[in-house]
Amino acid sequence: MTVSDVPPESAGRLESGTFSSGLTIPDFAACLHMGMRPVALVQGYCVMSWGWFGTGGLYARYQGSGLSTYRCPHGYYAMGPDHRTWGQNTEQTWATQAWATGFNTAYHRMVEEAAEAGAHGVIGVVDTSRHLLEGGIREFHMYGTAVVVEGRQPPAQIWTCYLAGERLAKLMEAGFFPVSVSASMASVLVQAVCATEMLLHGSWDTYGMVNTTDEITQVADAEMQACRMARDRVRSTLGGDRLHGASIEAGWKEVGAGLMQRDCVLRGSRVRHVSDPGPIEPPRPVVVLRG
Amino acid sequence: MAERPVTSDLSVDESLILHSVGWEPLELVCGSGVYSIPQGTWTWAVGEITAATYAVRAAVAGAARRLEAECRGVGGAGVVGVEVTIGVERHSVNAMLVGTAITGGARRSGDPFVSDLSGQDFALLHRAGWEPCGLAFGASYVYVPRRGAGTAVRQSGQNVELQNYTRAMYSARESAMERMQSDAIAKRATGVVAVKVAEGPVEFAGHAIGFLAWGTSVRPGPGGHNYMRPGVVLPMDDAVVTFDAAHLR
Repeated sequence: MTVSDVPPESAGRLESGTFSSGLTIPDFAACLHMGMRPVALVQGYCVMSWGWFGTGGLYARYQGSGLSTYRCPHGYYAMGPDHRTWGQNTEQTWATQAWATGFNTAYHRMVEEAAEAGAHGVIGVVDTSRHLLEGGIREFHMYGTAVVVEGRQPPAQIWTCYLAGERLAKLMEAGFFPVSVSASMASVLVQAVCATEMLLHGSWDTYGMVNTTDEITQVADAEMQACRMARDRVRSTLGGDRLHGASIEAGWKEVGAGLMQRDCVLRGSRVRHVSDPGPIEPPRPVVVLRG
Repeated sequence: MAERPVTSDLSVDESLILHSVGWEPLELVCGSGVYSIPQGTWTWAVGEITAATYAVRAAVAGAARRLEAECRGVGGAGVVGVEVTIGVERHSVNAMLVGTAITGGARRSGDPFVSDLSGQDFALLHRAGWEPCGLAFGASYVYVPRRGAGTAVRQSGQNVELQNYTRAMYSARESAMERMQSDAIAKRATGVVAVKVAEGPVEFAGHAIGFLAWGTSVRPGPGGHNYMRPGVVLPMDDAVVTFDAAHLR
């Protein structure tokens, strides 16, 4: 199945003449008020095999893009089989690339369905991603309501937006127009150095080099790195536009002894400034007399 | 030089209201702090769990430092709408702060501020002549105190005040709030607004309770307080008052 494929079952639905929509009633009303006519609930779907398939041993997967290294503080005191003399935070490029492939494929399929329905844009987009079958497979699903802007020619490219209803109306009143949904994922693998490993288990050493009052910098750095990479990637796609209503979804996963993975997904609506809303009155406190 | 694209987690309302008072969003910024909690910390004892309290406060302070550094890096004057997430595990605590760096206005000091106020609240505060100084945070973790065997026997079958519980929890709440205020004083603030209090048992240690308090520390700006006469709104859409006629019988 290629990016351009849409299941034949969708054709009947999209050409039926009746519309479908994922909008709530207030959002539906706001949509009509803005001159947008819903034409179809459109979706894109992609199931990805999820794992590292490079060459070399298992550890080769961890030799991706190194972000920061952490030296053992013990020097010649270091002894014992559990002592790890170095640690590294590494970007898991295979995960970020696979995520981008899955997301973009689902996105393009949704846009293709919208094009088949003759839409100008897709509003109220929802995207989900989850593991199936014990993590070896990951599905990407994206759907939204395709709309036609009454009295306008179809745009050169179908626009998409996470917003709908009142929030979208406000955005447009404020002089912005949606361009596309924008999202990025970053995955950082933490190969814990001995000090990190000790601190994560609430322990310390007897040499006074790892104290329980120390910050676990390697883990904090990984959180920052994942967040920054996801943000910088999205920003690099914006051109002169801005990302509105961004949200971050992040979490930790234990992937082995001394190995942890920090995933961070950033999503938002890419919007373009098309007109000046004019002067806006500064806020003023009010007292509401309500019984 | 090309203009840096803006990323922000503000709503449309927040963006516009900030624009109306001369502030603009710059960048979505985050800060993280992770600290260790030593083994044996959660073993039942008496009084405050100082190691856990220290770790939580240090993690939030570390996250705020990183957030400020990110804000400084993009040329922001401060961060608004900061979402505070604190995760306490058995052996570590993780604090994450996410907000939008903004620029504009005129500020007395050069350090970026961190504020969990929404765009609307920040704009109103700014109009009233006040400025945020930073996120003030306080924490206190305590062991749920045990009663002596004699006391337990005496109190059995009676609805009486459990004074040891009252004292310990009262004092822990006050400690968390007092630390928050001390934090504000250290930031040269005159007060703390929009204080949030979170409390509850620790999931993995049933005999421990945590109290957290945080808010935005503020002080008057160079021009002092600007009194804003509130407008009066009389809504005409009051819901119809209904009642159950059974109560009249």
